[in-house]
Amino acid sequence: MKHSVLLVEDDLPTRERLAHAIDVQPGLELVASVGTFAEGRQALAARRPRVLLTDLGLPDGNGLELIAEAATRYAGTESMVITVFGDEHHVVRAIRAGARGYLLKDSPVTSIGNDIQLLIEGGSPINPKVARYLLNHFREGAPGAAAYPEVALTDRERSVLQLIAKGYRRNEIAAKLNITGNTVGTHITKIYGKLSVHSNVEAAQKAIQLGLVR
Amino acid sequence: MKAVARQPGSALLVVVGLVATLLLFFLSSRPGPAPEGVIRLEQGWRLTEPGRIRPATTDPRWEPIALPDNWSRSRPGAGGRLWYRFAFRLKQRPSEVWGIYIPRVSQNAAFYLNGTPLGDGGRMVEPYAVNWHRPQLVSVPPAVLHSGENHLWVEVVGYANSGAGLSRLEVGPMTLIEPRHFLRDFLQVGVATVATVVMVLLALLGVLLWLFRRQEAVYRWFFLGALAGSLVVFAYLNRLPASFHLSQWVHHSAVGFYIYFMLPFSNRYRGIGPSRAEHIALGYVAVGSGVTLFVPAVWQFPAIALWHVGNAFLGSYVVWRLYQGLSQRPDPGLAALFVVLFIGLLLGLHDEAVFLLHLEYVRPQLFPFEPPLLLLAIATDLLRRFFRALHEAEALNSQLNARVAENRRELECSYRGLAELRRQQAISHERERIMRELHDGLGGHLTAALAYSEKSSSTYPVRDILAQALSELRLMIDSLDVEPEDFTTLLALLRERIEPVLESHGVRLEWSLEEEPSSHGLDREAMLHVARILQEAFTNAARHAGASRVQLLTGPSSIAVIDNGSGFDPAAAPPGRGLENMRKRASLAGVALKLDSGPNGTALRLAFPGEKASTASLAYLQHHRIR
Repeated sequence: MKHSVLLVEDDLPTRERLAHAIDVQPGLELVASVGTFAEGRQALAARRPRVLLTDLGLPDGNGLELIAEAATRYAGTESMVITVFGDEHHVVRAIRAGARGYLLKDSPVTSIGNDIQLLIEGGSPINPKVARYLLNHFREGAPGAAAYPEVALTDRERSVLQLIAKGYRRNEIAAKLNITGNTVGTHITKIYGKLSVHSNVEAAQKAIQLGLVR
Repeated sequence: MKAVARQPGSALLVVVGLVATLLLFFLSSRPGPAPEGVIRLEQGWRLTEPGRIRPATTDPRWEPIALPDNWSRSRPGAGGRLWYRFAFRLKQRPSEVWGIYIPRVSQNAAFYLNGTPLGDGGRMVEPYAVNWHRPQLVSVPPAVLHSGENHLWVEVVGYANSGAGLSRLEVGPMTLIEPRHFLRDFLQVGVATVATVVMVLLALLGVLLWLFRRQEAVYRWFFLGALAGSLVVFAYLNRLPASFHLSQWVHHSAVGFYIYFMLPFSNRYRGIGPSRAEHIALGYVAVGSGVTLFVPAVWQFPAIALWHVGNAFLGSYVVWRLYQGLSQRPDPGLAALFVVLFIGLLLGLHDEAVFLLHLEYVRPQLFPFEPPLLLLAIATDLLRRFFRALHEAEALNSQLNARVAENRRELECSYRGLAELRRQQAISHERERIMRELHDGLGGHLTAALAYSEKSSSTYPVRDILAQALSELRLMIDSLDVEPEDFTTLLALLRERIEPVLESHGVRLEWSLEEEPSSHGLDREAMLHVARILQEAFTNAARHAGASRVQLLTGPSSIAVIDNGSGFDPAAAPPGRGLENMRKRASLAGVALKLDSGPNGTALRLAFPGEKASTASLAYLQHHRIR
């Protein structure tokens, strides 16, 4: 069975390149490839894809809203953000909105398909910068950490992030921690989920502080 | 505030003082004609009788006398008891109460009308009750009077040479007599009483000023002057619990010292220090005061009169000195002081003349009115000075505050300017750096790619160049993206980029970042240099060394890249390897670079600055040669 993929990207050459990469990946099926926020939203509702790939800067809206919508309304859909550099700014915002990973625009065609496949199998792409950010974000004593232990990092998750921040590969980490590579991926997905939840907790706390919610 | 500076107080006081002086002169000069219905008794008889038994009208010893009768003139050197008798005619017995008004009697008197005693002013035997300067009013019941000739006996006691005697008398209905007594009593006693109160208050003010401003001697002399002045007036009222002679001594000594205090006071007021003249004046006043205390009572008044001649000279000297000071430095306060002291000199000379010429029963004593006048003027001026100083202090204070505020503003301004300048410099420095990077790195790659893509015959892989350019751009973005000091993340990002290149050349990367190297004092630019050096080392290992393995090792403050390639002679290395570039970057970053190359491979070692263990780190790395 092939996994359905929805692609939302306004730059035509990039879209075609990414579409090609999905097409050549045996386990994936591109169900729609659109260039605007409105079309993306429509396709998301109509197709309920397994994977949503979206750029953030769309001509008529922000990809973050698509990611958020997929995360809250379509439980079966995983989102990935398309970014040029995989920088903290883009990736972290997307993960906070509910994305499970990111794709580099200039990655080799084969690795694009592999990354999507990996995501579906339960592993999320990550890079040292994002890992460093997550370590800082979930550092001990951070606001809300004590009140919400369920969104705090486990020791194992912290070790995984520390090794990623040092530049170690997934299989190297697995060897060092005596776990499988898939487990490493699962850890990362869980960490992403915690960041998303944590973001929502933070937002709720802020709303309470501001008196928006009682 | 300005009004104080212009001191209308002093000018007003001068005017008031002059008017008051003239008024005193006028009121005291002549008794004036007696009002209608009042009988003035000026002619009578006198009889010397030591006993208290009233002599009969028929006594042969009565001799005619004209009032006023000043014993100092009519019987110098004699005191004791005298009897006076006056006769006046009434058409009919009056129906209302009458009175006898005695402007002045010294020391005391008792009155008998038609043989009936009317009363006395106190003790009629030694020591006599003292009624010096106090006008007397005796009430006469109508029943005592009768039509035709009435006889008034006045029994007078007094001390020798002390201005004892009797002034003119006035007899008439009480309604007419009482106001005349009241006016005289008010001028001589009432004014003096008020003056005493004022003087005491001024003395208190003086002592307060002196206590708070010890360093300003002028306040001390003001206090002492006010003290002497209040004694002058208080003793004048004969309210001291002392004998007549002692009271008189206190009064006149106070006058002497008061005149003396005016000398140091006016000197200090003008800013002049103690002088020889002050010492001489003090000596004279003190000696005179002592002599008049111990001289026999009979000679006390003549001695005082003589002593006051010198005091008058002293007063004149004080006024003259003030006049000198005024001509040197015209000052409103000084002018007021001069005018009031000049008035005082006139009053004092007047009293001295009265004293010497025995005019006590014709003219009143005026000098007791000088101290309050003067000290009021001085107090006004001192207060004016005090408040001016206060205002000056306030003005200075606010000026100071304003200046401090301005300085702070300027400081803040320049500090902000400096901070802004520093920020601008940092921005400009960073901009320059990015421009240089873009120009040398990215620009070069893109230009090459453009050139190759235009040559359709070229087989050079444009894709590689573009990938390299993108990699370059990533490195720049990474170096801007990571926190300064976070060298570990920069290394990790470098791995992400370099590993695919190595893999495409069949080189395996062994990543051994056990120890996180701390980038002591390396800024972003230096970190980027180090990252470039490492990238170059990896690229060399992949492209030129023919290595199958390359290892990255880290120490506490050092990094090494070691490959198992064929090695090269660093001295004769071809330019393509970019060795010069690496050394240049290392020196720009302030990092020590060591390159060892041999047949078994090449080792590049970087040691960070600020760490004394940098050579030790290199040694540490040396032992971790590739297996």
